This record gives sequence, C-alpha cells and structure tokens, in this order.
Amino acid sequence: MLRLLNIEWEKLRSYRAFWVMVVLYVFVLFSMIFAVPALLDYIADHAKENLALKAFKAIVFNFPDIWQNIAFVASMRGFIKIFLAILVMIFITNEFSFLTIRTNILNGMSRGEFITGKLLVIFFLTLLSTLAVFFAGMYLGFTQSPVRSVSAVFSKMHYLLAYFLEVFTYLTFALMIGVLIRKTGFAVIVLLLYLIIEPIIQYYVPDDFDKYLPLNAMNHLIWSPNTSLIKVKTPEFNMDFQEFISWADAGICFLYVIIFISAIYLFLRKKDL
Amino acid sequence: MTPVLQITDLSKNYGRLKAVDGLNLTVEKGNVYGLLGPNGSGKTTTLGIVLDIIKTPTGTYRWFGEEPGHHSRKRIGATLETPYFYPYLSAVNNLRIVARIKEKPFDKIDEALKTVDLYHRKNDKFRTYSLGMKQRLAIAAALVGEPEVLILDEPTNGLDPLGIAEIRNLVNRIANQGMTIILASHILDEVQKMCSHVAVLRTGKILFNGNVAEALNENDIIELSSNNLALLSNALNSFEGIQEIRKEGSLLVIKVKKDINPSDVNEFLIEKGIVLSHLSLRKKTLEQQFIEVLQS
Ligand SMILES: Nc1ncnc2c1ncn2[C@@H]1O[C@H](COP(=O)(O)OP(=O)(O)OP(=O)(O)O)[C@@H](O)[C@H]1O
Ligand SMILES: [Mg+2]
Repeated sequence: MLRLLNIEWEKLRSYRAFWVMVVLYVFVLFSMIFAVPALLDYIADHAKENLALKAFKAIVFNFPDIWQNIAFVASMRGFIKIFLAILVMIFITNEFSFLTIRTNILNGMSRGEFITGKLLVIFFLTLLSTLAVFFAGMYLGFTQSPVRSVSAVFSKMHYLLAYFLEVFTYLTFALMIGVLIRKTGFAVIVLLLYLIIEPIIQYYVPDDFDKYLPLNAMNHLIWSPNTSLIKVKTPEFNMDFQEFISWADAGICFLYVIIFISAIYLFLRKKDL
Repeated sequence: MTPVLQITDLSKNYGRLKAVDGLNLTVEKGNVYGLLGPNGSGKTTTLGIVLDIIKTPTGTYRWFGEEPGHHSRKRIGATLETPYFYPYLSAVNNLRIVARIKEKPFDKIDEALKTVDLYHRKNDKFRTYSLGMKQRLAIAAALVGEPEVLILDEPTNGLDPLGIAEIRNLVNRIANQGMTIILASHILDEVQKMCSHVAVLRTGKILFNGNVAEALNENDIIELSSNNLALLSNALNSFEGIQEIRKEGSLLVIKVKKDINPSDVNEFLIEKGIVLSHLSLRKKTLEQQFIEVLQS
C-alpha cells in the first residue's frame, strides 16, 4: 500500500496543474460554504418579509444540524464535487494518453496495483474534501451557533462519513469513465452528459428502480438539509426532511463502488497497453 | 540451470494476422540475444507479451522459471518501442517512479543518467527532450535498479551516429559484465556487433536460431564430395588451411582458415590426384537467412 502511495505521490508531487486544481477546488468549496451566511444576510436585508430568513439563518448553522446542512450543500449533484471528478479524470486519462501506464506495467506493476494506486489517490482527495467540510463546519458552527455543547457539536458528524462515502463513490465513478474512455476531453464530456442522461434513464425505468440509479443512489445518502424549524408542519409548509442516514442507501453506494472497481479491473485485465 | 527466459509455442493473432506464430526461444544467463527481423516481423509483439503489455497470447513463457507475474518484471530492465514518460516531470523524477515501482533505492539514478549521458539535463522536463534524449532516458530507466536482464527494443532508434556508437559500447560493456541482454533490431550489423546469439524472425516465425559466432563465422565453409570420401578425407587432413572437417551425408564439410577459397582447396586436391564431384562455398548463414528474409 505504502509503495503504491509513494508511486502515485511521485507522479503528482511536482505536477503543477494538479495542485492548482486542488487549491482551486478547496477555494471554491470554502467560498460556497462561507458565502451562504453572507448571502442569507444580503437577501434578508433586501427582502420585505425578512423575518423568516433571519430565523432560518439563525438555525441552519446550529450544531448539530450544521453537519447535515453543509454536507448536503457540498455534495449536491452537478455541483462542486464535479471539480474533483474532473481532477480524477485528468490524472487517469493522462496515464493513457502519455501511455505511462505501459511504462508502469513493464517496470513491474500489476494491473491490480495500478488501479489500487489510483483508488488511494481518490481516497485522499475524498479525505481532503471531507476535512475541508469539517473545518468549514467547525468555523461556521462556532461563530454562528448558540449551542456549542460537546454532544451537540459531535452528534450529527456521521453526516461527514456519509459525505465521504458519497464523494468516494462519485470519484470511483469518474475513475471508471476515465479508464473506459481514455481521452481526457471526451471523458469529461461524458461525465457532464451523464448528469442529463441519468434523468432520462430515470424517466424510462420503473419508478421503484429510480433510487438505484448511480447518481440518485449517491445523492440519496444525504438527500435534504434539516433544522429544528423545518420539522414544524403547516398546511402550506408540509415537506419531509431527512432525519437519519439509511443503511440501505449506504449499502447501495458500497455496492456501486464495488461495481465500478470491478468494471475497471475487468476492462484492464485483458487489455493490450 | 533455469533459463532466464523460456518461450514455448507463443502465438498472438490480431484478427487474421498472425503477429507471433508458434515461437520457441530459450535465453540462458549471460546470453546477449538478438531478435533480428524486418519491420512488422513480430519482435515488439513478442517482447510486449513477455512483459505483460500485450495480452491474450497462446503458449507460455517463463522468466527465471517463474509463472508469469509482475514480480519477475521487477528484475528486468526494459524498453519497448517508443519511450513513454510523464512529460511534466524531470528525468530524475521519472526515474524515481521507476525505482519506486521496482522497489529499488534512488542512489543509482544519477549513475544511470550519467551512463546515458543525460546527467547534465537531469532536471529538465521530459517534454523538452529530443527524440534521441528520450530514447536514452528509456535506456537509463531500464538500467535503474540493477536488473538481471536487459530488454532493448531498437535501442539505437532515433540516435545520432555518436549516440549509436555509445549505445553499442554501453551494451558491450554491460554484456561483458555478464548481464543477460535481449535486443530487438532490424539492423544486421547491430546484432552482429553486440550479440552472442540471434533469432531471425519473419512474419512471427523464427527462421534461424543460434550462436552468432557460428552463424557469422568469418571463416568460410566449403562443401566437397568425391567417389571415395575416405580418400578425400585423408587427403584433406594434410591440408594446412583447414580448421575442421565434418561429414554431412555424402558431403564433407570443411571450415577453412581466412583467405582460403575453394580454388585453393581444389588446386591442392588436384595435386593429390583427387577428382571432385562436388565443390561449393556455403555462405554465412545469418547473412543468407537475413537477406532471404529481406528479399521476400
Ligand atoms: N495492436 C495491433 N493491432 C493489429 N495489428 C498489430 C498490432 N500491433 C502489431 N500488429 C501487427 O503485428 C505484426 C508485428 O508487429 P511488431 O510491432 O511486433 O513488429 P516489429 O518486428 O516490432 O517491427 P518493427 O521493426 O517495425 O518495430 C505487424 O504486422 C503489425 O502490423
Ligand atoms: Mg518493433
């Protein structure tokens, strides 16, 4: 494992474009999360009926709901995690367009090791992203939340685990597309197109099956924000909000990770390089 | 002793095209084996298969007697066709990856770069290298980690005359240290200058396989025959210019010293009163085979 990580580290260490993208991603992620309170203030100041908004702002960043809320924002479909996915596509398709995968293999890597190395990079990118959300949550929570008890701070942190799983599944999906398509530009286009393709597929498959489609499955892990106020139901405002993470949803994501990795392996196993 | 590489009945088809066709080859430790054949004869394909780059062949191969697997490849230093490295990384950083993969220390990297005369450019990005420099880096990569076998696929491709001479000297130097080398080339002269053994390939088949010294003997080989072979053999024994006499069916085959030609032999035998029914010069086998290959 350490050897494979070292190898990937050597490849990326002085790859400027990669690190520029990583910094850009963290920057965009932070500005998204930090922009929310300012944005709410701005809207509240300019709206007539600003009481509701003010109340909303006062509670979205409350511990412990904040974890669910920012994890929800950071993992939205077609949103900034696409940045990470494109990063993954670039480093995997590079191996094919520079044919460096060939050099790797003939120097003594197995195809399985090659894939494992890439999964390790994905793991650390996901970890980086989760840590960024964690620190953003800590900062926003401690500056905005009136509740700061230890139990409140930590109680919904498993939403970060769900966030981790969701991003990891998505990046494995991106890795698979990268391996299957091999051309950077084309792979990115397919990744973006799939955002439109899946709803079309969803239209044609039976409704019961909807939630098993990959993007739906990933998004269903954290499917709504939540606050104490939202639980209040009135005839005009009667919506369901996510109260817990379902093991079934997590299971489906795990299954997808396994499917994507197997697809990559089966594809590369017999492939001339 | 287990051979370094043993290839048995190896074939690889691309659709109807047989790129490698029932190939058998044994490379022993210390051999400098040339794979000689014209473009498209299956040299790269053969090397690609034994390096696990090309999949789904039939037949088997064994490195160091082991089942095929990536661990044996760590003991091999190889170049295959065009060099492929990370363009945004320097030569050193590219070689660090190679060393990491092979689980070898970094301290031989500088030496490898010096060997191929790239040391002064070691921190330049691969992208900025010329074709010949890329080729040299590939050879340096093959040398990283002190491999037990060196595989060089057209190592002088794209090099200038000086570079070609350097690489040939390098190969000879390494070979003299006892390393096993497999070298693919379509240049007869190259194989002749560097290799101890040669396999001549055409359309995926081996046409000739053996010792270069034997195949490319500087001394000529002459076939003779007469009514009385015993008498002929006796007479020849007293001929100064002969190195070796061998019987092949109804022929006597003799290896003669340099500058002796068939007419010298004939003259000598006429003096002895022997009349020949057959006299002919056998050409150098490798050259003969290779020219045949090129002409077809
Ligand atoms: N990926 C492929 N698909 C189809 N045919 C191929 C493929 N790779 C090689 N071939 C064919 O296999 C045959 C052997 O090719 P190979 O590259 O092994 O030749 P070579 O001896 O290395 O030639 P050269 O001296 O030009 O390097 C050729 O006829 C070639 O066209
Ligand atoms: Mg070739």
